Amino acid sequence: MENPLGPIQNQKLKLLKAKDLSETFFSKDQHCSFSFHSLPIKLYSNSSTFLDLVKNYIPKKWQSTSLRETNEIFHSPPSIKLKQIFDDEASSLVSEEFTEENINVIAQRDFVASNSKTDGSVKTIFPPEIDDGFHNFFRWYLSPKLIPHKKAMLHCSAVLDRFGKANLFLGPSGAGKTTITSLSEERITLSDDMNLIAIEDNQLVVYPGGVGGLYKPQVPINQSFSIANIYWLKQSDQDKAENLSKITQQRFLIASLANLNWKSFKPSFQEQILDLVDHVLKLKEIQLLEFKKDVSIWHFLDS
Amino acid sequence: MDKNDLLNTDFEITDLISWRNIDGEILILDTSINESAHELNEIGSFIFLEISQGAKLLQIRETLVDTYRDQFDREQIEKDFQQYIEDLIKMKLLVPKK
Repeated sequence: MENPLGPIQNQKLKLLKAKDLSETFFSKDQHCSFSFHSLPIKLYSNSSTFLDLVKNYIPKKWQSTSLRETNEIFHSPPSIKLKQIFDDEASSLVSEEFTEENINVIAQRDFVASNSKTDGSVKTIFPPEIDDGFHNFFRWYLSPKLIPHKKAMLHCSAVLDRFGKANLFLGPSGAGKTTITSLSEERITLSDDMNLIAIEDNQLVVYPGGVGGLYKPQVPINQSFSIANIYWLKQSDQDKAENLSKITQQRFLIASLANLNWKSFKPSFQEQILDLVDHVLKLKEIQLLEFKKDVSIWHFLDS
Repeated sequence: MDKNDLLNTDFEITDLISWRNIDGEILILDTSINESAHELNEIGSFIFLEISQGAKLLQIRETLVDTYRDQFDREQIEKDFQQYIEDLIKMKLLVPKK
């Protein structure tokens, strides 16, 4: 099979395969357990320092030592020799994923991971810090697992209004997701790029940042907020909101689902996605929001 | 495939996709073949729905000719229909019936 990855990612994959061969690099000696947006995780790492960082990062309410069925993850830091590969921000590759010998392999700029199709175990390598590697690995790992639980990672920015409800802003790159947060003055931004939506007790809520990576860490990642409005952004010379057809809303919401490797989906999973999209839009419709790049948009939204 | 062969072949919607009929318009979630979500227009949705219910291509084409005879001539409708079916086959959304 031709490897679609460039030389830097090839090195990452070689590293992963080399690690894969030796259990000693993925020690089972120490771990921490926690529930991540209700998904039970048992994270093993041969870096105790990293496990301590994770324990400090994960909200206390989500930490547990008695989880029954868990998703096991084995983590190893990159070797010193290859650490520079992970620090290379010039790599053009965003994400590549393929399956080889029943093992699903993913290489991104800041982590690599393998997911065995036979036993479901996951092995991953990223720097032992709560940083891009950690966040991007968990976004990749958790996103498809959240869908059956009526949760989804969404490419959107989120800003709280004066009543503490969230406005979500969706749109393609360059639409203004970050811009609209930068114009929001004293309002609290949850995240300017990624947030997690969930249906809980038939209410649509949003959790800030999805898996961390907060714009400003003003609120904990396990605090949920009701959603006031969902907008699809379009920059314009006027501030204006318009209704969208149901089918367009569905398409926009599907396009905003983040970190899903579509190629690997089975039809049953596609059905789960469509069911979730249906449910979300029954609870809250998406409107088209045309906006000028100035603070007038917030006066418009407040009015 | 020859035009007549095509129209006399029984096709079905591939079971690799998921789709919804939203107020008469079809939204297709096609993750494994084309990694895309497709939104069909009114006529495209009508054809897709008819095929999903087992209608023969020739029947569908004649229904379209009857429906749109006041707006378009038969030749144009036949040509557009043929092109649309070929596109669906090319995208592997339409497959020969098992």
